[in-house]
Amino acid sequence: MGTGLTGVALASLLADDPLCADSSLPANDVHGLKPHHKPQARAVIQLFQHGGPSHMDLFDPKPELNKRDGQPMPKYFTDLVAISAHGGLMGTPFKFAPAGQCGIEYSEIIPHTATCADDIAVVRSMYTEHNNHEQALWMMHTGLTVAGRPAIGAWASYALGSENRDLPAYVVLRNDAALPVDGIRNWSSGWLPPRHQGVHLRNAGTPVLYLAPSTPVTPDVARLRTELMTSLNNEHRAGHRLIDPQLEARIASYELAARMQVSATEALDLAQETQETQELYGINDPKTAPYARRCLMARRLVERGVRYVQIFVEGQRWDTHSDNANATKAISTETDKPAAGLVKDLKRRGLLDSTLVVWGGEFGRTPVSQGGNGRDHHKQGFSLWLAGGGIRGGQAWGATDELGYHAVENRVKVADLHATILHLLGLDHRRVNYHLRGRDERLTDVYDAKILTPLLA
Amino acid sequence: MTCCGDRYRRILWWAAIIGGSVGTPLSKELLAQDAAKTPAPAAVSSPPALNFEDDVVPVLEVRCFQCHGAETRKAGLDLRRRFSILKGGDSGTALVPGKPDESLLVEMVVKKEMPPKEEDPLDARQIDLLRRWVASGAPIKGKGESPLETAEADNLVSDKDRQFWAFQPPIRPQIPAVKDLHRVRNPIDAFLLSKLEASGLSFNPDASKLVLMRRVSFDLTGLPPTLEEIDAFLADESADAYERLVGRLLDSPQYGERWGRHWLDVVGYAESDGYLDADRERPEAWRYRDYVIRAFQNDKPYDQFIREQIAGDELQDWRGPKELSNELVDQLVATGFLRTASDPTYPGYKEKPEIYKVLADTMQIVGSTFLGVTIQCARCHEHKLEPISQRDYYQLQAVFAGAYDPNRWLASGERMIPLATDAEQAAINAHNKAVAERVSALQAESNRLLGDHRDKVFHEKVPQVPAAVREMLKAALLIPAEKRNEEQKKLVAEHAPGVVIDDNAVFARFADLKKEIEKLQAAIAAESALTRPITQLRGLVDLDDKPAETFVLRRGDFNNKGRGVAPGVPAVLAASDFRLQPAPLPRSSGRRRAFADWLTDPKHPTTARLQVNRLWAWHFGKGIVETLDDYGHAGKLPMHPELLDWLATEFVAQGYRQKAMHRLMVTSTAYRQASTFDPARAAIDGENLWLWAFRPARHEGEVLRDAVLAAAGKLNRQMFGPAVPVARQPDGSVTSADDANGNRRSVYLQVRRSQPVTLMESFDTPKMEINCTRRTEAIVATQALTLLNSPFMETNARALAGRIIQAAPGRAERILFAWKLLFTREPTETERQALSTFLDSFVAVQLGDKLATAAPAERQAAEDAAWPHAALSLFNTNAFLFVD
Repeated sequence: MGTGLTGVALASLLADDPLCADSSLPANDVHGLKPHHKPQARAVIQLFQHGGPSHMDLFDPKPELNKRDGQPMPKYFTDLVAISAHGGLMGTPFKFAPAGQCGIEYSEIIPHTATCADDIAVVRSMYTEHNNHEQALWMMHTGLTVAGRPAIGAWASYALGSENRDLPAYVVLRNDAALPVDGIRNWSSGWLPPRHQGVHLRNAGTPVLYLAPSTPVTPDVARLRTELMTSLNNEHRAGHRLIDPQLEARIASYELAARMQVSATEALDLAQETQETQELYGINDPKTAPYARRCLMARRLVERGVRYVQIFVEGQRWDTHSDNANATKAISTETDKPAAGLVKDLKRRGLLDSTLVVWGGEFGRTPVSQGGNGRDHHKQGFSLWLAGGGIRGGQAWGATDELGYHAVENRVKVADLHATILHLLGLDHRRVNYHLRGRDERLTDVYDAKILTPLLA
Repeated sequence: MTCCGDRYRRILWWAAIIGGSVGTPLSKELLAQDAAKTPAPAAVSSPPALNFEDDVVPVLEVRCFQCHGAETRKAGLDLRRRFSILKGGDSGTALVPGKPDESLLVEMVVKKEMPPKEEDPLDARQIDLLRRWVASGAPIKGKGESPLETAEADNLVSDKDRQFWAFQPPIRPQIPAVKDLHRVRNPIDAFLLSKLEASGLSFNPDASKLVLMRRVSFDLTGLPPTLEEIDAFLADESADAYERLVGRLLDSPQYGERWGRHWLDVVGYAESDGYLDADRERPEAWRYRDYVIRAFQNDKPYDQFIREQIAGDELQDWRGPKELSNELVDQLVATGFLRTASDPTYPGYKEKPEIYKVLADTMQIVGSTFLGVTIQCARCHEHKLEPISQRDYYQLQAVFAGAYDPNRWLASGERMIPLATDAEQAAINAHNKAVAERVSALQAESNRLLGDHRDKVFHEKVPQVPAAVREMLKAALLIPAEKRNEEQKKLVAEHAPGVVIDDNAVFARFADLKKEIEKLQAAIAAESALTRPITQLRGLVDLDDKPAETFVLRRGDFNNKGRGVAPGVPAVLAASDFRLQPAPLPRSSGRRRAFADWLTDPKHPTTARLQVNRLWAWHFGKGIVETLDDYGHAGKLPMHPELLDWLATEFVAQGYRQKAMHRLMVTSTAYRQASTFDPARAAIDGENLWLWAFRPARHEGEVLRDAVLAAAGKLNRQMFGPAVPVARQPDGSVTSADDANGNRRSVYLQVRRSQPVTLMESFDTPKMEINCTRRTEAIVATQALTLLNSPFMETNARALAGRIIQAAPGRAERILFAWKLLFTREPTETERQALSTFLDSFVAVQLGDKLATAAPAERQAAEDAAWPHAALSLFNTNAFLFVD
């Protein structure tokens, strides 16, 4: 592979320049930002389950629902929300069994996740505000059901920066082929400065767009080009001390680009992992391999100081409008082992304590059937789980009603989840502000967000 | 940051008492906690004593005063004082102190007769509070009460609030005296210099002729000067050579493209609806873009520009005339200004939250463009920082209610204006109906022909089917596939393949049939082509002269309507007795026209100031008021208030001609000074706040792309028309095609919210979530990667290298050519040397061991091969990316 810039060459050139001696600075807000209190999590890996996983088939056993399978939805439920277009109640075909020492019940289609039960806190009482993918995505990622706001990863980058000079603070690992609904705006920086936008690192080829020249060049040519640019920029700078910081930052950005070429490539090089580790994630099985690769990449990235990694599934795979049972089982099979592998791998490396893993989608699914065997979007109650990074595992928090429809006990709104994630990162959600058009904006907006203290270790 | 007065704190406090009807929303849980903390009335410890002013008024003011207060006194009842409650209204006294059960004030709210049914009843705590106050003898706070004034002034905004500088009309200041008179080219310099001199500063010397040429060319047209222009300018030694260059640039069509693009930022121009995965395209949006470009090219007076964009459809009765003049069409297109907001609605999906979001975004665009106060904060509660009430917000919303009617909502794609008069439309519709009839007759004939022949084949084949099931099969075949029962499905599956045949089999059986059918289909196509489309404009017009009623929405919630409001303007920006007085048109409310007239009043406090300040910021890199869209208490104060007001009044005096303002600004000494560093001046003003040097600036994304294409000789200067498509490439980037159309100026590239052009996005071209009043300027590694490694840069570097090699055979001439093309100047000796070293080293690397023995032609070939790399490196230099 050709190199556009030779990192070593450029770094040495810059080091020769007294003005650049301490140019470890800008470009990515490094180290300069402090948390509000002692963080429990240094990094977050969000396993985002786009489409809306069916809680009744995964984490929220509902014997009563199974008992009433095929019966109409009780009237007192339908009074609240019109679900006339749907069929009767639909139980789950999957068996639940207690897992780990805690005995929390997990569905049989996520056996690997179940083996992490003692590290996982399941939240069974989530609710959100919209039944559409877009609005629910905006809610889950940006805190309100409107477009254009910064994603939580961008807030983390804005508040804390990256711990690695050579890698972005906020990284997105998605299936290269299938974008989620609403595309790249899922990891937008909104009105925060653009450098906080999630950087999509690709699964194959060069990890960053334009990381290498489209026509490879030899190291010699790359070096000559860099030397030419450097001497021309130095000449230009002599006459432009007025904007020195800007010019310096731009020169430093080329240095960072060169380092990224080395470090991003290295960070995503899974060949450096042992067979055993690869197996733990399921890389050797073609079914699990794509998701497994992203999970393992995520571990390597947080190991290297990336603050917030978001992993997306392929498109909206959990959106099981038809054939819910088989579809849910299929996507579970593809993601269960990799997700569990990630938790186990983080744990045995001592990283789980400082890495928060969040698993969940934008909403849940209806306990009634759609078109006979599917389930529709559902905002009133759903499940997700958290592990590591200050979370006390082996518990289930909150509950839906006996049919899995409404979250009824210890209800958790999205703002509570956001406040808790920021809290674990050492941030007070009320103090992570960005002044915009006369108002201090924040992730949790005007919500009375509560830290989910019972979940904390 | 300071809160503006006790009033706002009081409002917040009421919110806490009454459960958040105004102010920060409070959750039910929180209220429940509060309630739990409040001692119950019967508790052993006696509750705190209540008084009218502190405890009762906050409830009544928010829930009752609207109908029983200063403006109206329904049933003759005024609840603003204890004595007026005692006096009562049509039903007699409303208060019997000590006897809550006999007091109408309590009875009406207990029975939930008041507030009226469409509003929420008072909650239990509020009722309890009233009851306790009456029971305790209905005390007042002090010894007496102030009398009631019959028409109490609107106390939401006081004249004191209006005193804030930004809410006062600009007043033309005296031009200050300065010492260094010979540096004063026009009054701008006098204002700046007086401040500079006060700090012991002075202007930098003038920049060189070519630095200035490059600066003003990019500034006014977004493009570098051509080699011919450079030579001509250098040769022109007349005293006013620069002024005439400025004139030429302002007259060039490229000026309109450059400055139109600035305006498109402010209005949030985009060519897709945003939202949803589809991010539906707005194929007709470009007409508004072209309108804006032409408006700048033709120097349309800014007041007229505003009137057309706010109320182009209400300037004359556009539905009336027999013919739509170009002027009329232009004015209708201009209303595209009010159609830039994201809009997720489509036929079949018109949900209230989305509808009100379109309204809110549109209001925010109008507010930040013309009003300079953050009105959007008042959507849900009284503004906490500015004297803007919720009523102000909804009065402004009412201005647009004739077109944006939440109850008769037109989705984004439906809200189009047919570009034809009523008569033309009727004629076209009649014509199209006739065409459609002929087409359907032909289609019927075609169907019949094919059907008859298929039947023939069917009957020939039917005997193959066992007689027993023949009738059942026929019946099953007549039922649509998805409605057949199991038995029918089985029957069809088993027997149909033999008898149901496709068209080709029919054609095979009847030799001439195919030709006949084809002839008919050709006739249909020919006939269909006669359909005359009616061009649809994307603009905004009132639905009729019955605008929707607009209500104050409590907490911004459309389910929680408060009082109705008339159209109006923010009270703080107008005199206390100002009322918007729309004159209805035949099918239009006239409200936007009235609003536009108010905005373009020469004495308007913000209209001219905002625009001259934007022009200033685009020329000088920073506004005189740095917060370009916020002049309120939360914004910044002007660095040069007198200069701002002089410019604003001059703008009005010049008939709102923007080119006059450009001319003033770019011919000033302030603009013409060098951008070079000066240690002595920097020691006094290190940040160059007082403008002792010109501020160098990095190219915007569009300018960078255009400059690269221009240098490569590939820029297509074709103007106007539908957007140049952009597409996501397999590598994930978004680009236009590398062909003539794809290489047009950036202002013509499709603005798809979900598909920002990668190169421009990485150089801070805004994403248009709402609008962009000021661009950010980030420096990130992805810029370096894009400039070094993207196919776009590589391709154009190669093209540039080709031009350079074509230009001259010799190295020195080539270097000179490159420098003039890219940097509008000759290279310095160091630069010349650096490039020569690069070429030599490249040749050495290329030829390796053969270097010493290589023939001259071989060496030349190696040097030519170095130029694409040199060109790419030059594109990556700061000298290319920055304007000095």
